[in-house]
Amino acid sequence: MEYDLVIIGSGPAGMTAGIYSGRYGLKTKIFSGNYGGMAATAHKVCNFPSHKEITGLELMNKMKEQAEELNVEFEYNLVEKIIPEKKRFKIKTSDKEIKTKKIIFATGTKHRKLNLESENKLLGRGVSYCAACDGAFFREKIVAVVGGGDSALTSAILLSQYAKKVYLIHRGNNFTSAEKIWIEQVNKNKKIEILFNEEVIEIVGEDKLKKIKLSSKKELELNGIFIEIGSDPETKLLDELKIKKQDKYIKVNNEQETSIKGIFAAGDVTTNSNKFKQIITACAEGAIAANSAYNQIQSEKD
Amino acid sequence: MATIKITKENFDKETSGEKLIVLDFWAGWCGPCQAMSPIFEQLSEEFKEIKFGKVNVDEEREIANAFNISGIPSISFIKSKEELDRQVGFISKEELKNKIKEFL
Repeated sequence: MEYDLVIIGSGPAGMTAGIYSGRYGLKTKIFSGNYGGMAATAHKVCNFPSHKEITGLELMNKMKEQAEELNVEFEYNLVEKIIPEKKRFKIKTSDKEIKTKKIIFATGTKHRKLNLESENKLLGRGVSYCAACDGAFFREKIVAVVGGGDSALTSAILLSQYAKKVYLIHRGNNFTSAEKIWIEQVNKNKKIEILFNEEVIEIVGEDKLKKIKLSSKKELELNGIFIEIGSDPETKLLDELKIKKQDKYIKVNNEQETSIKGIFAAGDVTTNSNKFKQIITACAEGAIAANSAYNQIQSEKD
Repeated sequence: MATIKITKENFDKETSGEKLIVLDFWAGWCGPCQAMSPIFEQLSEEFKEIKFGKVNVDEEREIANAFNISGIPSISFIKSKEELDRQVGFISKEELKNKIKEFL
């Protein structure tokens, strides 16, 4: 089976690339691991033109529906390897291999971990990286948020709607990298207790999270801990091909093409759009990438 | 065998057997659950000798609490009421297949 275009990732960049590619009449497949990407985990999206307010998942479902109507194939599977061949790429998953002329890489970013023992073991048993996804499991419980940026502060605010107590743990002594509006809201929220100059040094629990230990030797009994210390681009598949990067992000030109001819990249994983990680900028990059892939296919015909 | 909807009422009956039962904890608002769901259905057709149960965490809070579920999708492997392993977050069909084979 040979495709014109394989898109890796089903967030806003991948979905939009699919919609454009479908309209160009290219034989297109989207590989989707975490369906809808980071956008699907946003509990409210209020800045996407044409929708005053919509959940992230609803918005992504609409994009998917639009792509599917244009005959774009979806496969819920993870790509394990990309193998460049003469004028083609081989794409390997754990159960098959397919070929494609062009690739759009739209894998987005992954949450940073604290890299503490028990962090992985207690994932889904008290440890979380997404307040919007998992907040509802903590009604009337005690939780902590780790981090000092916008995502940490907004997570703390959201969690205060469910939990009876929210600790906000930050290693700095103020919130320099957060928006003023969130800092004000956090400060006046009675459920949120801010702990500055603290780091989490141990996560404790067997079947479920019990407590955490902090650098000041203080211990907190907790039901949940939300780690919001930023994210890094998910570039593993392309690192194996020695792709050019800049500060961890995939370097792309104005056509969204990477340093490897035929592989384009779009969305949060790239150096473009001022690294402004927004749904609309990801969509724009996806559209440009699809257009560039189409043009390249046309120019290589006959 | 198709998947079984697990509720408070049938939970004990469905999970007490000696044969493996695989439980998928999910909710309608969860994106990765949406990706996991068709894979889970397909595997329930491929492994007809064991049971596949779906637990909606919004409707079945008591079960979710008993399992200390705090993130979904969570896939739990159970034999004779005992949880053998749990997988949190999206995994590919092959990975899930291998896990099932491990506990068959």
